Amino acid sequence: MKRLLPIAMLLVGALALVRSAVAAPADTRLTLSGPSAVELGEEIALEARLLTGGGAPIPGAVLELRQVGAVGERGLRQATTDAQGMALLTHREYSVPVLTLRATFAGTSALAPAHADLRVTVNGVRVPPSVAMAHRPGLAIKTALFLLLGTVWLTYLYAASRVARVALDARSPIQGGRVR
Amino acid sequence: MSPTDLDVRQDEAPVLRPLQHSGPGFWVLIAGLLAVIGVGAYAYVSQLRVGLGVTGLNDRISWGIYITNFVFFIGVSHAGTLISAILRVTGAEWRRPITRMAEAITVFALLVGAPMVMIDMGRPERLLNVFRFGRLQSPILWDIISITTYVAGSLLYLYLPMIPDLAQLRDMPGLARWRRRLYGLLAVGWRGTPRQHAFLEQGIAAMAIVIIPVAISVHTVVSWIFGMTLRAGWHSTIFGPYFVIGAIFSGIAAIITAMGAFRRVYRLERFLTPDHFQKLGYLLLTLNLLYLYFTVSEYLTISYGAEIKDVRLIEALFQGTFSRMFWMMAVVGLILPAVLTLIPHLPVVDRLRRVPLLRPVPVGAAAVVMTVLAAGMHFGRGPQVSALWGISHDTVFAVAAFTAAGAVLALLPALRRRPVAAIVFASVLVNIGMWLKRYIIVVPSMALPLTRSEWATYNPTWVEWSITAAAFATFILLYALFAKFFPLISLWEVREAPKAAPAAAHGQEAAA
Repeated sequence: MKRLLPIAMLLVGALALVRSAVAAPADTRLTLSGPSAVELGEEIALEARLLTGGGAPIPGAVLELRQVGAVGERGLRQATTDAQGMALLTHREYSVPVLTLRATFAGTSALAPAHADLRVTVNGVRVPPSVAMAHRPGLAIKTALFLLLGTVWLTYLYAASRVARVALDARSPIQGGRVR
Repeated sequence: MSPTDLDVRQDEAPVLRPLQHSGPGFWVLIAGLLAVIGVGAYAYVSQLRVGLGVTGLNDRISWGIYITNFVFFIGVSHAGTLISAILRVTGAEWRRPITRMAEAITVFALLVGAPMVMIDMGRPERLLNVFRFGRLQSPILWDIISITTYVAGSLLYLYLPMIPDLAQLRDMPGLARWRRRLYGLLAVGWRGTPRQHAFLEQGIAAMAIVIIPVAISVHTVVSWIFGMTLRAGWHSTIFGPYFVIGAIFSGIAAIITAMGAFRRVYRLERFLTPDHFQKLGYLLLTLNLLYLYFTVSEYLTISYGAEIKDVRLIEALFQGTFSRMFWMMAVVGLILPAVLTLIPHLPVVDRLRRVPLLRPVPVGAAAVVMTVLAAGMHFGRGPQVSALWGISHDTVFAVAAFTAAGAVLALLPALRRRPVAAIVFASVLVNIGMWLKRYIIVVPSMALPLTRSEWATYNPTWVEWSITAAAFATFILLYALFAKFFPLISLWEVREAPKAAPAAAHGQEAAA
């Protein structure tokens, strides 16, 4: 029994090594290159290259081009890498002035996922203000507002004048004897 | 003999007694309140000297519990409007003994609540910038205008119905000379002539009508400070009426709380009858249901729209960082008060006496211990600590919630036999719940990330808690001093009430 214990431990260790070697996917590197600025609607041609950690090209991998925004990502198109691990991704932009594009490789059981970003400025995009607001209220609105406010304060003045009348009435003689 | 001397009646003695005598309890209360205010003043001086860095406020969450207090007190100020103005305009006779307390709440709540904005600004002199650079389209400018208008109107509306009572005090023997002079000055020569009565009624009627839209506008404009932004949880078309309903709800709760306290301390049972509490309880329940309706409508609409920012906010409120506060608000501020106001009509409550576990004393003690422990963990240790002595925070909170629920259930049969106590208890819970509600309106929307960044964190410091405690102490102090110098009940209005009303009230009191 005592002899079997080291053998069993060796076997378990070897199994763990094999298992880790099988389970751990290989490192990958993804690079993305392209123009830093384009004109409105001009084709943005991007070159993505997928390599292993050792620098060997990975052919036949599916890459996806995504636009990254403040509230998430949206997929634009996909391409497959050639024998050199390269894929050409294109996009035309009409609305976003500064575009963050992301090439992603989802990974496989043998290859780790990877992604690379590129910022592209799109010249000529006119961004309308998100809030259309008049800088100043017009005369009609001002008049209405101040009429309302004036009415309230005039009512206060009227109520205060009633207090003044009470005070003035205190100076006049009481008529009709005892009151309330 | 002065004409008003005849009006001093024996049955009005409980109302006038506090003006003549101050027991030791009063001075202890004043000393306690002044101590709390002193600590708050020290905290504010620290904040002025060092800056807002001594608070938990930061560049992301610039409105914390200061603005929570502001919205809360402005809401409470609606007590005077609804109880006094609306009931006066609609000719509800039962309002007479409670109008002055309601009107006083309005004035003091405004005086305490409005400066909260300046405290939040850090540098109070910057308030002048609103006038120097204010823009007419800014809700902040209109907030200042409407609150100023409301304070002025509320003071006038409090003062006008006090004139006959001030004349009575002017002529009352046994008061210090300076006080009689003061009352004489404020009474503006009131002698109770028919002409003076006519003038006074005209003034009161005008103010009662105009103060209602002013009060509604105040809380609507306060809501627009939130609603006119594009932030999640704030940008809503129903925020105006939602805030107004919430304000009236908390205003009624505040007046019931004040009535309950003064009824007990000054023995005002003859004036503040169970009938008054029951009627206000029905109003409280109505507003409770309306507020619940608005709350469900608000959250359902933004959840269904499912914009990412709204969904993140809803998740944080319902099951995330702010969920404890949110559900506490829902249970303490809405559900329990509804049960308590309905309790006289729920005979099933009496069956709870038979449950052995629901003995009020042990379950109440357990609830207090667990609540103190949970509160200590929440406020003392910070949100990053997830366990104490190996017990999960959530477990402690769950046990605290269960024992608290058990304590409330154990109290219900006793409260059923004391409807006034039940309604006062409900109103205290509403006040707590509405403060929490204002907190979860203000803070989570500011903590929500607008870009791909982390949630902002906010933990109020001792400075903010001290100033908040001082604000509440100032409110109570002003009210206590008011009760020392002026009658809390509008005596002349009660005297002029139709004779049937007091008799009915007495009958109901006897029945209760």
